[in-house]
Formats: sequence, structure tokens, C-alpha cells
Amino acid sequence: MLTIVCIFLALALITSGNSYVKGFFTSFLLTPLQQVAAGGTTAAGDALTPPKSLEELTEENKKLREENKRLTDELVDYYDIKNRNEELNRFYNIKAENQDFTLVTAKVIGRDPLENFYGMTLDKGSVDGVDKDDPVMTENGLVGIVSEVSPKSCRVITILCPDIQVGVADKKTDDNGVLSGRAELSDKGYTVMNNLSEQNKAETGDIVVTSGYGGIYPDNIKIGKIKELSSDPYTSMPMAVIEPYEDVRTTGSVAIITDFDK
Amino acid sequence: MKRLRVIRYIIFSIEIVVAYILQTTPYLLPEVYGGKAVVLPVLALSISVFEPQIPSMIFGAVCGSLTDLSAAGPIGYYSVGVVIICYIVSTLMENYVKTNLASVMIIALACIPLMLFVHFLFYYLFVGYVDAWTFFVSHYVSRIIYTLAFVPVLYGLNRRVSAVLRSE
Repeated sequence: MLTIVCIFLALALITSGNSYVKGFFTSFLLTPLQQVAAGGTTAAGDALTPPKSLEELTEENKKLREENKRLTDELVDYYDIKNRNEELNRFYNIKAENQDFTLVTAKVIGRDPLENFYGMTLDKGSVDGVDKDDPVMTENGLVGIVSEVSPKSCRVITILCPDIQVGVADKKTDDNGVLSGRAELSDKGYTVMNNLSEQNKAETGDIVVTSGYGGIYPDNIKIGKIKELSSDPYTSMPMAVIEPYEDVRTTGSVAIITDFDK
Repeated sequence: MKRLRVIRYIIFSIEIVVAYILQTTPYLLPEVYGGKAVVLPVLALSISVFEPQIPSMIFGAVCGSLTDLSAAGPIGYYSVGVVIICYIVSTLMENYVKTNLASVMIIALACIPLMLFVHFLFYYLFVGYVDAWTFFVSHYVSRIIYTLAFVPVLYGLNRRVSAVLRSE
């Protein structure tokens, strides 16, 4: 009896200051025992719990289905709101930089196979305040201009189209020109700045923006950068090939400028 | 018989809606070498193979008008062009030509490239765009071939519809 008491006292002395020894006993002796015991009592508890009736299971299944549907609907709404939020965030910066712009955001809903210069159909129309000749842009830069409007949709011709004429300027050198598309360059996503003066100081890499001349486009909207300087093969005038910042061939959502300070 | 005809026309109408969506929705039909298929006129042609002149022309007018509406420019070219083609095809199939895939392909090979070529002439070459012929080769040739690829598919579909819904 005294021996046993002494052994336990010794153990108490050893383990009180030595967490490793205590941990050894706990992890390798006591914990497995506790796990087996807990598993056993849980299984016993489950076995002793009376099974649910068919009506209870059906009712529970119905409630879970309804809950699942509600959560799925909420998830769909969440993604809608998230996408809308991302879209509005993208165009928030445009509005922040251009306080005088009245913007209408729109999605590209159609690209016709007969359209040669990546024109698009948007999901906003005259009921939303869109008018013919309204400029269309993204946060990256100018995309094009509204060419046709119907009550709930509008068509846009892009800056790659030869029919478009945009007054532009080299931001660095202030050289003015006219932006218009070219058939042979449109597939590559490039456009052309024509009517540069003979004494222009434009260089490759210069940023091109709208000049605001003509009053159709606001000034200082980014378009792209000069990729190459050459001469027009038809008029021999200097021209610049522009690489737009926005790839209009794959644009998904845009902002239409329905009003601005002229 | 009338009931079957109505069901047939409803199915054709659904096909027109699906074809319009296929033709105009971005990224639904892939672009092949710069060209996308113009499905609606082909659908109108495949319908007119199995229908008399008046219904063929009506479906042709709808398909042509939808094609004009989705493309830039005024309504007119495809609306009129497809109606004429549908009338001719319907008359040929009814009176002179045996209806089979070979004859339909021959007619399509004549009509579709002609229609798209004339479109190129009026909307591109005569307008005065530079490098027109280069553009024709890079865009219109692939568009023609891609569009013709739909002829056997739509012919087979409408042949099945007509066979099932033409008689008891």
C-alpha cells in the first residue's frame, strides 16, 4: 500500500513540471481510450434513437428542398449583384474623371455575322436616353459611336470602321488628325489616324485622345497609342496606325455618353 | 392535314428564332477565318424546298427581314433577295427538280455565294472601301463556306419535320 502511494506521488512530481511526459500519457494512452469510448457511446445513442417515420423524412426532405431553392435563388441574386457591382465599379472611374458626362451602361447583346468591322448591338435604347451619334466607351477608351437607335436597343459602329470619323490629337505633341478605320487593319484590331500635317512631331508610342473638335465627342477620351507612322498609300499624306487600348472585337460591356458639356 | 401544317409552321417559326439567336449572339457560333455563318437565309431555303410558293415566300421574307434587321443598314436587300430565292427554289422543287440533298446542295451552291457576293458588291465594293478584294478573300470566302456547311444540316432537319408532319 505504501509502495503504491509512493509510486503515484513520484508520478505526480514528475508530470507536474514536465509537460512532455504528461503529453505522452495523454496522447498515447488516454486519448485513444477516450476516442473509442466516445465512438461507442455515439453509436449506442444512434442505435437507441428511434428511426424517423416516412412522413417525417418526406417533410424534412421537402423543407430541405425549399431551403436549397431559396439559397440557390439568393446565390443567383448575389452573382447578379456582384457582376453589376463590378460593372459599375469599372465605369465609376470614368465618371469620377469626367464629372460632366451622363453615362448609361450597356451590355453587348449582338454581333451580326454580316457586320465587317465588329459593330455591335447594345441593350439600351431611346427609352434609356440613348440617341444617335452618342459616343460609346469603356474604362480603357473610346469604342465607337451609336449609329442606329430603337426604343430598347442601339447599334454601334466601332473605331475600326471606315465610316467613322473622329477628331483626334496626339496628347504629347498636340498634332491633330482624323481617326478612321481601314479594312486591312480592322482584323488586327488597329485603326488609323489620317490627315496628319507634314510637320507633325508624332512618335511611336504617343497616346492618342479625342480632340473634341466637331462637338460629337468629348475631348481627352483615350483611344490608343501610335503603333506605326507611315504614309497613306492613296493620298501620300502622313498617317499613324493606332493600337486602341480597348479591343473592340471582344468588348462585352460599355458606357454610352448621353450628355456632356460641349 | 391543316392541323399538321400549323404544327409544321410553328416548328419552322421556332427554328427561325433559334437561327436568329445562333447568328447574332456573340460567341455562340465560333468565327472561322474571319467569317461567321449567315444561318437565316439557309434556313429559309431549306424550308422552301418542302413548302409551296406562298408559305416559302412568307418564311423567306421573315428570315430576310431578320437578317437585315440584325445587320447594319436598311431593311431591303435580304428581305427581297431571300423572298426571290425561296420562290424560285419552291417552284423548282415542286415542278422540275427531284427533292434530294444533292439537288438542294447544287441550288444552295448557286444561291448563297451569289447572294453574299452581291451583298459584298453593294455594301462594300461600290461604297468605295479600300482593299475591297483583299477583304472579300479574308472575310467573305470563309463566310460563304461556313454558311454552306449549314445546308445539309438544315435540309435534314426540315426533311424530317416535313416527312413526319405532312401526312398521317
